[in-house]
Amino acid sequence: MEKAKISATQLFILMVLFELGSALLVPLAMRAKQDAWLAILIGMLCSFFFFLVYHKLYSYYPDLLPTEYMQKILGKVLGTLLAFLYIVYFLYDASRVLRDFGEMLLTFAYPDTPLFIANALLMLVIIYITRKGIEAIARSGELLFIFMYFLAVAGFILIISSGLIDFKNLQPVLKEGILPVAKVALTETLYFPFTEAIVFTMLLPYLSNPKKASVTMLCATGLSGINLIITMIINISVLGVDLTTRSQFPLLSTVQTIQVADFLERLDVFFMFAMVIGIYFKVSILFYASIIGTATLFKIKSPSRLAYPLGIIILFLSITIASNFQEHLYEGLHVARFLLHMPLFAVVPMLLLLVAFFKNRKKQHR
Amino acid sequence: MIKGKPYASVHTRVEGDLGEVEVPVNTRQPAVIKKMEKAAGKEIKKELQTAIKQAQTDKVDIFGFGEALARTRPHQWEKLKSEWDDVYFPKLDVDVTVEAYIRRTGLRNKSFLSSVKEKQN
Repeated sequence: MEKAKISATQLFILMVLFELGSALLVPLAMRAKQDAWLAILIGMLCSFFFFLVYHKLYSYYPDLLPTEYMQKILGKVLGTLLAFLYIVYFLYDASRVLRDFGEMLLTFAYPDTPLFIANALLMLVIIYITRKGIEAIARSGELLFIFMYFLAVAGFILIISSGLIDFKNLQPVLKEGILPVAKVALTETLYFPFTEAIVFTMLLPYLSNPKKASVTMLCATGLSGINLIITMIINISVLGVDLTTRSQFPLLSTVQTIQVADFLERLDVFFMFAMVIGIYFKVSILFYASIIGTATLFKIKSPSRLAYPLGIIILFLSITIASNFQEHLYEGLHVARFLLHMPLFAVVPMLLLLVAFFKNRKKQHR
Repeated sequence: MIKGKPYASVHTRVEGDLGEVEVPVNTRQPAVIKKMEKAAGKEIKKELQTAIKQAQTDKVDIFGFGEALARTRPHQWEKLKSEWDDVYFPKLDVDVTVEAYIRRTGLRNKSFLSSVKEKQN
């Protein structure tokens, strides 16, 4: 762990940017069709419970990283194994998000550029910023957060003023009852993007004011959830359910339809900026978490030295992870969800909390 | 060179994006993409084989198989050189292998016809 402190505001900003990151890119929760926004809402509310679980674990060990307190809770061998699993997962997730970024860039703007170049350019910037430490990431977050919200608000106003929104596309609400929507919420949106922010438990020990941890986490999740709901409502009401489902990047398709006063059009750049910012922070944070995790697990004195080797691992993993974009998405939806997200985000933290609870109760009795 | 006879193998690797789909297939399935890659590879292989055969009947080594042989087996090439175009090249065994990859499908992940078909069923 490096000696650094981040404020509650900075944590909040990083978390919002993280959760918006690649969730803005994909047709989120489109299996719930026109009720996608409801599925996101339910997923967000359920994720509050898990954030409280993560926070409770943190409050037992406020000065330790999860990779360290896992060893305290489960013992040396099992704890180390579990911590290692989480670090590998963070690396894998970072490379998935990086792949998303490269595919988006290649699909949309650079069809003849090799994927490797697109990914390598972003990865170089990320390696640079993570070497500078968490404080640098947090400060650049503050700067770009404002820029991203400016883009979002401007885009929102332009979409409304070009008269594209047709709320009839959102009807009928709950056509097949609440069950299919709840199923999508509990199996998809809960894990991606919301509880994916479990990686922030690795940043909580850096917080300058630990009392604000839980409020900050919940507020950040709430804000990003509301943003995603608004985005999905706009996407569906502009494009309709069918086109939103068939779009690789629905928000891009929505932004492309903007046409104000016959001259303000082709605002795709808005989308690109927002995506680059969001994905940049998502990969940076996952990458940073895996660096400090590795450093504490293997007792390496200067974590920044790990930036280059681990960065190159992420870069190559992002290229070799799948043969094509379809395979990549399929993997994320059908394989990673059940094998990685459910156990690592939901089951393991609850078990850890259970064990930690009994351990700490014993201590208090004595 | 196999048993004193010249032998050539051509390996091609193609990469590309899916531009247009005019049949109702769900391109979101990786299996569908795999099938398309195989079909594209077969088609490319057929074209390459036709081209090579045409060159062989015309007795012109436009692909430079002779040059490749001269680079890798210079001593044997000396013996074959004089009769390469007339005798050896037309009878050359050429083994063609193609690897085709489809990397992405553009801004839509599924064809319009595919979702129309789903609604009909």
